[in-house]
Amino acid sequence: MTLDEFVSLSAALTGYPAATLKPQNDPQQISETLFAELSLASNNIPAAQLDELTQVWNSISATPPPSLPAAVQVKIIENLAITRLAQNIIYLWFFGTWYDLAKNPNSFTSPNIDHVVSPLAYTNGLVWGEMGAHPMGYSVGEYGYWANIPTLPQIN
Amino acid sequence: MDNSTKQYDAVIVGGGWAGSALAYRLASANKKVLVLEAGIAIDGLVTNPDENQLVTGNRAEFMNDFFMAMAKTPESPYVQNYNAPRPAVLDIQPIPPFTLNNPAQLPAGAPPPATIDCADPKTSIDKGYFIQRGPVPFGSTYERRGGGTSWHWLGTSLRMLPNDFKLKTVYNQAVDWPIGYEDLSDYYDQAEFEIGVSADVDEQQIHGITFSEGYVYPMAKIPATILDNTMDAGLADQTFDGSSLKVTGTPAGRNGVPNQMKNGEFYDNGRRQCQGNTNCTPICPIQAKYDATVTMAKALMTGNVDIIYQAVATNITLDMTTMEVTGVEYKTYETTGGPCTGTFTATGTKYIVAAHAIEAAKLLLMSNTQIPAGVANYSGQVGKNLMDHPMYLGWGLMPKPVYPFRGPLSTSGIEGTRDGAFRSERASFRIEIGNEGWNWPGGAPYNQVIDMVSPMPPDQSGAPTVGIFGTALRQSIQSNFTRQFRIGFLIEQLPDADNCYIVPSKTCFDNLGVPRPEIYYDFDVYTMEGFKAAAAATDFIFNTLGVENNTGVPVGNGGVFEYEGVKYYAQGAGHVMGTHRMGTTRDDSVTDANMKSWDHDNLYIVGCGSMPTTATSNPTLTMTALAFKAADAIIQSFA
Ligand SMILES: Cc1cc2nc3c(=O)[nH]c(=O)nc-3n(C[C@H](O)[C@H](O)[C@H](O)COP(=O)(O)OP(=O)(O)OC[C@H]3O[C@@H](n4cnc5c(N)ncnc54)[C@H](O)[C@@H]3O)c2cc1C
Ligand code: SF4
Repeated sequence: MTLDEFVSLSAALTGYPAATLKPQNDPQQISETLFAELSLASNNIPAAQLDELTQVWNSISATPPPSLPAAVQVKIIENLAITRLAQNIIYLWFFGTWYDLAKNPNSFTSPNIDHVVSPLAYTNGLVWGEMGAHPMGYSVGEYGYWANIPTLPQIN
Repeated sequence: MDNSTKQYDAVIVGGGWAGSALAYRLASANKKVLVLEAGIAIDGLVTNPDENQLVTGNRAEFMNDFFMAMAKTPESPYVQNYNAPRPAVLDIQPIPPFTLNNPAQLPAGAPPPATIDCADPKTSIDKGYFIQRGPVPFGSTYERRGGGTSWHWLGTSLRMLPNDFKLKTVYNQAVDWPIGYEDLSDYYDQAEFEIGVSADVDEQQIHGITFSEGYVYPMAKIPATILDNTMDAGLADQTFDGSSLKVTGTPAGRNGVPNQMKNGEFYDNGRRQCQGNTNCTPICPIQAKYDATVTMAKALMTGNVDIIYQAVATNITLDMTTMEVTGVEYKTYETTGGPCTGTFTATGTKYIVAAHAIEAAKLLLMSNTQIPAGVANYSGQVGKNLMDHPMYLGWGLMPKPVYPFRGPLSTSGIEGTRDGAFRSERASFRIEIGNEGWNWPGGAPYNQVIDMVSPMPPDQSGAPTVGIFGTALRQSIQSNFTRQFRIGFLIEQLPDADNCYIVPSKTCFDNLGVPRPEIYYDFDVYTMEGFKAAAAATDFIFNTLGVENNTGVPVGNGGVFEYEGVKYYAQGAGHVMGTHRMGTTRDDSVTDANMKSWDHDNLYIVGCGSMPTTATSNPTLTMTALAFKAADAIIQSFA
């Protein structure tokens, strides 16, 4: 998988525009950092799984936007051979976390290789902004901001 | 640094909260003070800044470790130190049989009980520092490094109620304190100034609490969250069991807007205003929240304080004729996993143990070479009466968004339930309103997002499952997380010398060879009735507010117990009390009301362990007031 393929696939999986995930100028290099997890040997990603996800994505990525989610649903999400890896891409973006592919992410069986990718991957996790908040431990708010109703990001 | 030859006015064991407060007070009165701190130093907080401290830590490193931790527990920013170990919440597991009135049976899914193997201290400590004997595991933790447990406190700084000091007299329960509210009132003012508490005097005048003429808190109350206001709108006129459910702002040791004090000056502690990082426990990234390093820094600035880190007190020695303390022996080490590098003795005129309720009791009981029962233990009460505010959590979804995960972890609570006639039958409680959604009970946001994206298969296996993604996922996150909230009940516990106590283990040791705390702990009917009332209050509050009740098994479910056929999941509050209680006689208490040992004229024991009963207020403001009271007595004793 290439970085571009990763970003376009990520956009389809997260519901965020590719330009939000990988802005023109990203000094924090978030997409690069997250993408690197796919080639990290210690993550034990079966090569066939990554290949299949790449191929499937390339076969549907040109689908016109209105029908793309349905294609992703059928070809990726419902395809048990690759859905777990696709889910991990969602977690990379929403949490900055990699979960051991060999178990359910909500299972704490150990040993496992669950890990936070980096402090920046954590503080850039999308889940926080989605709910109108900020990463726990990382706020740029002004004193008292919490008394006001936040604006949630637009979902298209 | 070897200070063993220098003579001090006072030697303080523990450079945490109480130790810093005492060091600062004594040093300000020109006393020469030595602090022995078991853990590692905080950057800059050393006697001589040019000196090369062996190991140090700082806030930026702690933040980095916190960001990188998968489980963001209170301990996650702070690495374990095998030479001054501390307990961790992840290690709290049920102990079979898990209640007195329940057969030996583990809750479903719990791992089998591990026999404690302490042959190798490090691997053993990794599985949990405490030797838990139960029947209920003790759920609270603490920190052993410069600043102590103030690194993970939340900031709640409520005063005790006048009736809290008189539980025996008013409700015929447990014991009275040897002092009353009026004896502490001035010290509360001083403690609130030192910590820097933000609150509103008018709002805090409940259950008979009074303030000195013209008193204002150092800073104005912290603004309420949308959740607080939503709860107040629905509950202000409601009562439960005769108690008002009105929501009020919680006094907090975090920086708000300075008030003009009684003396005309605006309060200023030089630290930043709270930015609402929603991370007060386990670590405030910007030190808007008070911690004891603030006070220790001021103590060191006086030039009257020396501090030795990586110095674990292990023995208090006595003159067997005068029964006065003659010295404190301590062990040193160079690295947090390395061997002991020596044993030294610190000497002074007065000695103060401020090592946290559990470690202080352990130290006194370990110092038993001359008297078998241990130092300061004529009453037999040292280590006994271990108490906490065991917590009941209720959680659900509000009908409308309340936007959690914003602002300090808690800004308001319900205090009406803290006192009433019911206290002659059952424990009282205060209700803390949490601004962090289901983070505590439900591992939010992680666990719920995972339930959406990778639902757990029925057989709990690792098999892949089909979940939601894209726009549907984003909509679910917005609708679920903006409505999440939890409440937590801090439940009163009574002293129980027979069933709740800590002793130094005879078989399990840390890496320095120091005994680990062995803990016996249980809940009596009074407290369990408090849990039952908390569950009923949760139902009432949630019904009144139209909340979808999701209360179930919390992620941290080690504190499970059964009462009248119902399972409850107690959480630790971190409020460890009772282990060296003060009182009016030498027969049933460890110290007098000045926290001076009844047995040894030059020994003081100060901390939340001094508290004879728990009340329902988070204890550390009161502990700070007590530390200042002890400091005054010590200063006067020199005169
Ligand atoms: C998660 C959490 C949240 C909390 N939130 C609140 C809150 O909101 N409000 C509130 O009132 N309280 C709160 N508390 C409680 C508060 O943190 C403690 O009451 C307070 O820190 C106790 O102070 P202390 O000085 O007795 O102990 P500590 O602050 O723990 O200091 C003891 C010091 O002694 C040192 N020491 C231990 N053994 C030895 C030895 N043998 N030799 C030398 N030194 C030794 C330790 O390293 C430590 O530095 C919370 C606690 C926790 C865990
Ligand atoms: S809300 Fe944030 S800034 Fe405020 S005290 Fe808590 S952690 Fe510190």
